[in-house]
Amino acid sequence: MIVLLEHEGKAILASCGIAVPDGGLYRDLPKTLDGELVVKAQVFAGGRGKAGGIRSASGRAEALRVAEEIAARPLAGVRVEDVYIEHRLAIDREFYLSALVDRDLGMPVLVASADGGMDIEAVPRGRLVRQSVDPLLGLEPFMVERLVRGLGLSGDQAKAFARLVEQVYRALIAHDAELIEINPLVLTKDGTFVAADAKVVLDEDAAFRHPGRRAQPEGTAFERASRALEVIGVEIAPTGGVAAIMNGAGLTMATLDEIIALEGQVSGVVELHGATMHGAERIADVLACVLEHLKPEVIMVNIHFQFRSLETIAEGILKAMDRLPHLTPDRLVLRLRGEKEAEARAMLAGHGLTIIRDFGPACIEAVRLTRLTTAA
Amino acid sequence: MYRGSETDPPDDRCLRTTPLAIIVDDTSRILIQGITGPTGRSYAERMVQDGTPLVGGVAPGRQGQSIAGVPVFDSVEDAVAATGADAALSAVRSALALGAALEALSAGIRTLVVYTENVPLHDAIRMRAYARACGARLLGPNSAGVISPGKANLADLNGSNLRSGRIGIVSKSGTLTYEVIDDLQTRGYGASSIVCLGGDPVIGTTYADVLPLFEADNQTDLVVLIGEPGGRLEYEAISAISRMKKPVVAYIAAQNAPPEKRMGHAGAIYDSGDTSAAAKLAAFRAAGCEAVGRVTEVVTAVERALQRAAA
Repeated sequence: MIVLLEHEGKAILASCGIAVPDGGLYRDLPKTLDGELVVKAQVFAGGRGKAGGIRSASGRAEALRVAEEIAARPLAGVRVEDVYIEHRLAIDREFYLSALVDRDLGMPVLVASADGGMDIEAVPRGRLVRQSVDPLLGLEPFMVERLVRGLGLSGDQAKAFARLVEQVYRALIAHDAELIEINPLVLTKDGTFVAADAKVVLDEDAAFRHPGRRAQPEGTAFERASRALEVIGVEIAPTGGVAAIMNGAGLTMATLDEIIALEGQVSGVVELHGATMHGAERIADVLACVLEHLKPEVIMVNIHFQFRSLETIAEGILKAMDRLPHLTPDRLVLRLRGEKEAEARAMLAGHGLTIIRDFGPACIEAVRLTRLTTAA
Repeated sequence: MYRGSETDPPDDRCLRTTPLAIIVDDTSRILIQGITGPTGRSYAERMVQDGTPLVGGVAPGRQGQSIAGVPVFDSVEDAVAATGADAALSAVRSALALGAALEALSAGIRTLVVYTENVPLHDAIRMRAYARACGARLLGPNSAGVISPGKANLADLNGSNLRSGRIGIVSKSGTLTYEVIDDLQTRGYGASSIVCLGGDPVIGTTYADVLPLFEADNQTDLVVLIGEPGGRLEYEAISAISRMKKPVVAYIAAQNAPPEKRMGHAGAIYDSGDTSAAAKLAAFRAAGCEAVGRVTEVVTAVERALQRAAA
């Protein structure tokens, strides 16, 4: 999931032929942009209008001054990534239009409303028109007509809106997007539809079809370092407590749940995500990353392999203990189950390590150990 | 056109003493798409070891080769013509997953497991729609597969560790399934069939599709449903359960998962209602199911449900 900033989303809309106000980023404002302007904080969060992130300005100089102010500090606690300045529209009416993937229906859905400009969650259900699109059919005229009729549009406005629906649907498919949302979609006093805002979410898994598409590095230092090791790290709480390393998203969630149910503290979890195939050295790197960033009292390694060899994990643990003098055996709880279990245990024997075969007892031991360390 | 061969299992469906399992069983005729890749090859070797009825593999440009003793074909169409295959497991890379799925479905494959991870969302949407249009069963993308122990193994599960029994399992997650099976086996319970739906947001087969199969399956006494936060498939499952006589035990994982960053307001329109793990757990309980939020509680919940059913 790649969430775009407003100005990036608008570039995508514009490339699909959808009208957007003339504008630019404040540091590189087009020379021609002047007059009645809007200055908009570019943030990865909703509700920026209420937080003071959208302000009007008369003329270029004022707009740039306001932009500097907005750029200078976080907006309601959220970092301001950039500031975008665009022409203010002469608004007649505000609509809502989006195309998104409905995961439960398993198909794209178009949503339109004549009540744009407000939080769409606040729009009464009866004022929303929804139309699913069977991907084997694509967007058919009857689907578009139903949306247009649902908004009570007629004449030229109906034609213009119908064209927009097609463009938005095409943008969703052509850009492998999860969401294209225009709110408000402004009908200007001179009768044209213009996208006054844009929220676009792209599918990272489709990056191979879109050269240059890459998720922005997000998350905490630990989470970014995990990503660099091709594993998925999630920081849960401040440092200390248990940090746990698992294979598989399911086992990761279950381990987090179990330790918390036992009233243990979890600083973070790592899902190896197939990193075992990069060998024991990578496993040692993951342990080092966890130790450095989360400073846990105890590291739990909870691995259940059906086919991959637990020997790689065992070797990785030994390498990490060699490399990291403060990774002492009393800080490790190992739950190793599955393929080459006996071999892995034999490799780890004689190092003073706690190895437990069952999930529940291993979690109990990890929590017990953190309590001992905290008490000491 | 496939006319059958001497090595085919005898067509004894009306005479056989062991009943058929749901989705796949020992009369299935299975292909692996991407059989020459590392994942496909390792699946092939495992299936042959497990006695799973693997009849061939597909890898464009590799026709005439043989992997784990089964022939490789250039296309699914050729493979189906030569072997009579009706099921396939796809282990191609994500960029090729949609094409491979459409090819398999076009060639008449009735049960398709897409093991491939990181399939683009819109590709998942198209393969799901085409599978439904063909009346075929698609598991995945990102599915750990389906296994009926002792009969057929199209799953990322080690068949040699599995005991067959009378509990059905339907799950989105592979690794949670391993844990639940392990605990059940420790207490003496085996599985009739294990169905992994896949961990992606858009998947071909849902809980509500699988539950009626278990209800009709005379080898299953009870179903364990393993769910997660996000989406409404677990709620659809509750409606399906209301039409079942057999007990269903729900385990909803990720009670403590950090909330996913909301993608936008429009997402919320469709995530209508509360799709958190806690809300799902409460909904299963309100519907009268044994439902738990810890993997270590599943077996005792199963035992409670079995006692209740016997009473």
